[in-house]
Amino acid sequence: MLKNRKVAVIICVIVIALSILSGARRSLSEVIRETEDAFVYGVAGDGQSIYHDLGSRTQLANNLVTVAERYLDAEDDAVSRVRVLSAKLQRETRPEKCYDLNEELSEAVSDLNAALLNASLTETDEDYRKGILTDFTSYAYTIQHDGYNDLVRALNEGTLKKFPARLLKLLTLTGNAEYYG
Amino acid sequence: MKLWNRFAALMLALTLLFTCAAAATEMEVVEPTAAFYVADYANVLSDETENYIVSMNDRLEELTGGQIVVVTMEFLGGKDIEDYAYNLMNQWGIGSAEQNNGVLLLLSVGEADYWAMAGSGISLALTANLLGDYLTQYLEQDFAAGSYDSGVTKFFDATLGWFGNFYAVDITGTGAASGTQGGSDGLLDPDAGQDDGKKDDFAEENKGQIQKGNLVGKIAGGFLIGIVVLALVVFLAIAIPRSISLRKRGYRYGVFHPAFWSQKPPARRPAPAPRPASPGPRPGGMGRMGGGSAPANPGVRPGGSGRQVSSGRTSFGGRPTARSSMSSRPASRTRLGGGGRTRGGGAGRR
Repeated sequence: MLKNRKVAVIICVIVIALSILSGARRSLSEVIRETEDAFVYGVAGDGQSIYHDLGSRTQLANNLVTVAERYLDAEDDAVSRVRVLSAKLQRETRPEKCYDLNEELSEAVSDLNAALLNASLTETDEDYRKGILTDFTSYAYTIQHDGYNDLVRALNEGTLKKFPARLLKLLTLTGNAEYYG
Repeated sequence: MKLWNRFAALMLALTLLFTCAAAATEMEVVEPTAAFYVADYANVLSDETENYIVSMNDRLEELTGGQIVVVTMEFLGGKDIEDYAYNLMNQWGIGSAEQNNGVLLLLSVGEADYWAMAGSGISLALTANLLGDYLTQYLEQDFAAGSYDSGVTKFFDATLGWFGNFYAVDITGTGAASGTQGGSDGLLDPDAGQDDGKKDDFAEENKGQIQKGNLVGKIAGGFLIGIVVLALVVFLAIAIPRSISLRKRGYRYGVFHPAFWSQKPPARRPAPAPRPASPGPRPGGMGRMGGGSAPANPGVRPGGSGRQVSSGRTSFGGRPTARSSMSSRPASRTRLGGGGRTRGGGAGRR
């Protein structure tokens, strides 16, 4: 059977088809990975990224916990919630998951801030509280303006929906790049 | 021709539609004034304050490339003040393009609100917290009282002082700059030592650079090459056996001859006819023809003008003449943004 020319041609065609699909999957995955790198390294590749801003936010949240622990119990719900969410967010790298954790952290910080407003803070700690909140909010705006989602949208809705990428994506079962949010 | 004209008109209409649609996605903000550094649309600042801001900014830009722009407006048309400030700063290009070291102070007088924002190149040093402190300390009281000249001037001077310290330059001309930046407040600096071991070093150049090449070309190129190879293999798989088979039956034509692909090869060639007897010796030919005489020497080419001695530069390349001093610029020059950008953020009324 192996000496049959027809069989040889069929095997050759199958091998070529499989190598095309394998190469296509690798190319698509690389393109998606390069786009998702902007989440960590920034759209311009300069490190000014959503991931960097989230890191700053977790540090600020921890600073607020440091101030709060002087007035509230360390095991207080508001305090421990911020602490736990900060730790989770620092460990996470996937854009979608980071978004969810960041939203929860914003809520937790807001609740902790509300608890501190009822506490009698010293002048210094009051300045710290205001300053931390200002920076925390500022980073939220910066993240909002980041161009990462535009980059992902251009890939998912543009490049990956055109022929032949669309067909290859279907044949190789490759997913889309992940949005932040 | 009519059809072509209609097609061209349709393409033009679609292009214009696309351009308008594309432009509409960016927020509309006010245009910068000729002075650029101050745009008092709410008409709350005196000429003296405006001239002061302009003259100090001239010096600031000369020494550091930075710009501190003050914009006053009555209302923002329901837009978020941070969003408006972000769009205004990027559209005007406040600060230098290389350092992104602009600062914007936006006053919305009718809405009793204000916002200050720094460029992305200095936002880690001139933090939102620091801007917020400046606003609270220097602007808030006068803003609430309606003394905009006083409040804006104090905030402007504070920010100018920050630039002087940051760049270690004497902008105001009153004395030497300290060159030291603000001290620590005892808490963790959120922007210091971000490396927690699981991320790569952001400071490394060329790391994580996004290649925005032709993504469609990359994928399509590989796909097309695969198709071409497949077609070639199929072609050879059919052509080679057929060629071998036809050669055995005496077929002369190659693979690309139309007859190769017909139903059956042409009939065998008939046997060649026997050669005739030798014709005998060849008759004598004519003698070789002589050629014409060679053309005469054209003579000496007439001489051109001698090489001009170049003036100015030496053969080793002299230094270009120095530019005229910035201080000799005419007072009425048009001022423009340096192309700086911001990532947003900043601080507003607490």
